[in-house]
Amino acid sequence: MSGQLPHRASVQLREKVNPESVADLLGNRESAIGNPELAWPPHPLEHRLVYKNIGRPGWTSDIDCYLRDGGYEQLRQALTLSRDDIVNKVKNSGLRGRGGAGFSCGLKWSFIKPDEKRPVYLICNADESEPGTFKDRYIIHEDPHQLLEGMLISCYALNAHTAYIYIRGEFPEGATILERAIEEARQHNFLGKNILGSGFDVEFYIHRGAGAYICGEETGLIESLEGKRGYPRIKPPYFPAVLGLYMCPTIVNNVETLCNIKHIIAMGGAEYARLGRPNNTGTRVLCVSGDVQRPGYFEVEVGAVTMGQLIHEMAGGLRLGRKLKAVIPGGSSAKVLRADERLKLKERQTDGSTVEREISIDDIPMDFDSLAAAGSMAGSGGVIVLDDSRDMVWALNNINKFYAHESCGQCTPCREGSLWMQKITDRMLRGGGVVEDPKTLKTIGDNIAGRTICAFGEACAWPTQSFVEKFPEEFAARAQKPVPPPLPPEYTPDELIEEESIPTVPMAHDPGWEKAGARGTI
Amino acid sequence: MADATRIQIPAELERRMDAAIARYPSEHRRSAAMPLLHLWQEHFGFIGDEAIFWIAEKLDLQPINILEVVTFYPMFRQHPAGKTHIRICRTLSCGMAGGLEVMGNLCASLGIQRPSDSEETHNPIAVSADGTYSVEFVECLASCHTAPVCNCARR
Repeated sequence: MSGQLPHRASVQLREKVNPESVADLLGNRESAIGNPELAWPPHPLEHRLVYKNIGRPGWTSDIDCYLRDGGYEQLRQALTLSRDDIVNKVKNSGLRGRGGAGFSCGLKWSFIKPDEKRPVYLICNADESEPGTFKDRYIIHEDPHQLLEGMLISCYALNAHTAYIYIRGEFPEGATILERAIEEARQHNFLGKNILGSGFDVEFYIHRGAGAYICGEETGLIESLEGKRGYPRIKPPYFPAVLGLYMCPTIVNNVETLCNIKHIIAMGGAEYARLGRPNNTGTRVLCVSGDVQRPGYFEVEVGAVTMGQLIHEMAGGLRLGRKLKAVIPGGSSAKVLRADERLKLKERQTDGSTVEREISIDDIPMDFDSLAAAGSMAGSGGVIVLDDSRDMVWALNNINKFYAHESCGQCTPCREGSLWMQKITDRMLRGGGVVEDPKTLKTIGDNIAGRTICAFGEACAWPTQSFVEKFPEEFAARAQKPVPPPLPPEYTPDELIEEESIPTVPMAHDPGWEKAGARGTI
Repeated sequence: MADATRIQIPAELERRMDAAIARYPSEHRRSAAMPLLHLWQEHFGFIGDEAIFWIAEKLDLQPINILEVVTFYPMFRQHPAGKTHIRICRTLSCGMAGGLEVMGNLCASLGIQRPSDSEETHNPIAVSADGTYSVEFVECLASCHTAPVCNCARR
């Protein structure tokens, strides 16, 4: 047997497949449409920082292109600063995690003790799996060195000598690109021993996931990185910064968050904090998909555009003759917003007082706090738009299928509840909905959220709770059958028992064996 | 029981496996379970019983420690897929854009019989009779703006 491996499996993402004709999928040709229309030039309402190079004409993912554009300058700059300086800059920047929870990055970092004796690990969470989100894909595929630079600065600030990039299994090309980028960075001495003569050693490794959504949860990710099933860990400790990978202090940050670190060093914390709104600083990438004319990614200052601007101006509005029905604003876990609902939003004025304003969903600024006040969340930035042709029971069923498939199975409410909710919506779609169904759905959701080890419980309960609450008429229309009467108590005729009994020979150790006689039965 | 010692592993594959193990602290070899399974699957096409024993031995683990990983992660398969394996996204944005129709038409043109919903849970991959193609519904592939999305892997 030769020592040669066969050609590595080639993997090709096929986008915009024509459902009517799958011939292009089967032929050896590239996708019929090829790369989608790139979001370039950026929309006038955009503020490109992390996505500066995404889709940029002439831009390539290799290190030479990155260096020509002033790449790794912020790393050089950071290596002249003290660790506290960098952590303080990140704190002052007000940067909130871009993965979904929106937790303060500086605060997370400050949990690492400066005199920590154990090794500290940094993990880049590139397990982008939240339905509706595709921002990290472009950073990894088109600008990998920006991510590496952000990670290098973070490692230096945290005194972490090893970092892992946990990339989802469905990004094999992304993993290859990152491997190459790491090799390039090592050749330029940005990585490895004594980087740029600073005396700081750091190593990066790629760890590929294998299709489990739950590994985006940071403790599930750590378990997976340790070679186990991705079961999220029981809290407390609430933060892997206390006990993380290999029971050592660990910081897990999202791809986009780590890229922002580079820009915070470039701009300074205070200057960065002037982008966006108070407590919602910086820029973030919003991913729009669903029923809009120009779905795509848009990097905006947090809160600088409203949902209406995002959908109707930036994403080109709805298809001709269609009206907006609902928006899921932060990945499929976020609670759905109904197009015609009115919300009361408290707004902080410059003098510190708050004013309550009634607004429509078009007027919601796309920031963490406003979306939370609107009863949903900014989540991972994945905005899914549904128009008036959509059946909300079908949409919820689709989401329920996702969560039923992805529940790790560790906690009973989630394992059983997610599947139960899917079975109910399945039945409703098949025409078997009973009047109790909407109420049952809500009850199941209520009994999952807050009763599980990780936030997946909320993530799978919120869609059901909000869909049923916001679109009661559609659920009621599909839940018309009367509740069937309870089945009569089970009765089995004696002769059947006689027939079905299994003759056995009593054994000496069976209790009562001496009384059982020759025709022992169980 | 499969005999792990009788399997011939190409030297190049084993070299790559050793390189993967070296990426983790020596006292945490278990971390290399997933990278080794990926390498194995890329080479052999699927993860059979012998793989579970061989990898367990390689990492000083019990076979169950490997089997539990194989069955937990949807991308690891215990049966061969087709030469071209097509993953079709069925999650919301793709589902709305026709991902389900893609699957239907694909199966029709390849003559593939899809498993029923209950079977699909444990056996999501359906292979064409000649073993050339296989199809599988997967969850979000993170390219929702270009829906419907498929992922084709050729061996």
